[in-house]
Amino acid sequence: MFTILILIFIFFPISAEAIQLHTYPEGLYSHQFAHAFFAFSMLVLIYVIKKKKIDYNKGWNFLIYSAWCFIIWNLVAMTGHYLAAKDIFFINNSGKINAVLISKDKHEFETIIYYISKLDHIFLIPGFIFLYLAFNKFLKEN
Amino acid sequence: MCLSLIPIWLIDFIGSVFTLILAFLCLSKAIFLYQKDKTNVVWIYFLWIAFGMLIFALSRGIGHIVRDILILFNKKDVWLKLRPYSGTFNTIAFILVASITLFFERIGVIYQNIIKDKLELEKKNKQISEFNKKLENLVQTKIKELEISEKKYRRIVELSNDAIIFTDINGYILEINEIGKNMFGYDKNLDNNKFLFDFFEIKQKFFEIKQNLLRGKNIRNIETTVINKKTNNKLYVLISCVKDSIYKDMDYTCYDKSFPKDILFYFFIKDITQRKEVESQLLRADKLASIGELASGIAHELNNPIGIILGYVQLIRKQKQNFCLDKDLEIIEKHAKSCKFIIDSLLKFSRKTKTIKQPANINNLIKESICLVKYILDKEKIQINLYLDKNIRDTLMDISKIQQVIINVLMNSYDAILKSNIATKEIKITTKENKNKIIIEIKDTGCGIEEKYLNKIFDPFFTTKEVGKGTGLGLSISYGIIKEHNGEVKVKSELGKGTVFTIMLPIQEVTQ
Repeated sequence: MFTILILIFIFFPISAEAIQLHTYPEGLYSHQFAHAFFAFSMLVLIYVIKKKKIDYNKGWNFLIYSAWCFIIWNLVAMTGHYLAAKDIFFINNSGKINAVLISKDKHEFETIIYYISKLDHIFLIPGFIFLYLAFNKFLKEN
Repeated sequence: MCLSLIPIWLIDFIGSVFTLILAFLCLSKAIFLYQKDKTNVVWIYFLWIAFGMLIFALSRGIGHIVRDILILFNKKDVWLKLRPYSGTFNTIAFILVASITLFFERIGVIYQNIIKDKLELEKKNKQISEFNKKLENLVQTKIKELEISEKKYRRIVELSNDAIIFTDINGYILEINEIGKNMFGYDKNLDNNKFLFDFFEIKQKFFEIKQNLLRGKNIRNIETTVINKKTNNKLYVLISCVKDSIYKDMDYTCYDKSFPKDILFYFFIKDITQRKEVESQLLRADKLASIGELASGIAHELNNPIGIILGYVQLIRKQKQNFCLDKDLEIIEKHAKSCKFIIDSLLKFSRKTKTIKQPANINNLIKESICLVKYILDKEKIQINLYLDKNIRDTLMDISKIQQVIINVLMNSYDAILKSNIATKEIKITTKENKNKIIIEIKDTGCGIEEKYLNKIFDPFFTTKEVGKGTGLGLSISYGIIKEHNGEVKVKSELGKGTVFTIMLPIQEVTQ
């Protein structure tokens, strides 16, 4: 019986739907989830420091500031990724130095938000600076 | 609305470069922290965070820099191929950093405990430090008290008028104070100076003391004689001694290894030589006084009968009737006169004749006295050498009495020289002034006086001369005269070598 069934499947194949395909939006979603996970971990870090009351010196304070910067940066980056996936603007001369961002009708505000979100280093660099200051402080105090 | 993408690219490029630099700096700091204490979980955690952040910065920064460069060179198609890889790595980096960060909950608990323990430890350390400080102050105070106490007792030992000596059970001298060193002429470098009994005139006495001490008896004021090793003088001493064993239970590691670990003897030795001399003088004076009184009584009683006998004998002889008895009467008269002379001397000795003091120079007095006996001395070829200090001041004295003393002593020397076999017949007279006293030293090369007689020579009627040659009153009278002048007479003699009489007279200022 088992052999007959095997032979039927070989000679008369049908769609098995065994493998799920991961097309375009899935990569974006996983990236967005990674951002959210990153932000969440930073929130946990702040929460633990505050709850355990170990923020008794400036090093820990710098670490908290750094975590806040990374949270903000993650949110900004997530906003940017979200708006980029929406049909609210187009780029002229894309891939060239003179490329410009042109908003579609009634999407000017969202386009401006997207534009700002692309300047995410404004939040990322302070995050690293505070992290450096935190480590530096710990080093000096020990 | 049209917005240029140039600012975005610029900030993206510069930001990516800075992100990379800062990520490396963070890692370097984290490595330093880890190297400082490799067992600290927090530093290990920070090292992991720094690694995660570097991977994140590398995945993102390099991706963005490559993208910006490719766009600058119109190679968007290349970027479109690389983009999924960059994005994927970036996503993995986020997850990695986030995962590492989430570990902080556990690390936080450990760190909290570490902090708690650290604070507790600091508190305890502070308490220990305070306790140590108190202890240190207490020790300092005790050391100071001990120093003061040690100084005090050391001063007592050093300044004591008695010799204080610590010996071991065998009498080996461990410590001796300055007075003790001077008293015994102690020199620790000499072989016969190591043990206390070396200084005892009768060594057996030390061992008796030791036996008593070991039996548990304390020795109090035992009188004995010791010898000063430097001057060879004999000293009369009173010895007190106790046995001690306080060091028995002590920790000896801090002491000299030679320090005895069992029994110690503490000797307290008082020099009573001077007291003995005074006592002997007092005894002599007392004896003299009683003999004087007795002699005075007898002399008074005998004076009259002798006077009568002498008177009658002389009367009978004047009558010249019994020529046959004249010879016998002469003998009776001679012996009666002799008795009269003794009685007169006794009366002179006992009678308180008034002393008339007048200023005189002792040197002149000596010279005058020598003139009186010079004839006798020259006859026996006895040489007199004078060493007179010309600077001696005049003093008040009874000239005739002092002259009598000098003549008495000179005559004694004369007799001693006659008895001596020494070829050098010499009497040396020295005068000097010392501490407001005139010191007259009359030294002869006579036969000397036996030690057993030294205490008796000032006693009345004591003489070593042949019967009939001396009355035994000369030195007694001299002694009395010197005492009347508040002076002293001392005698030192060595049998066969000679005698030294030392007369000390206090200077009494001659006022106008």
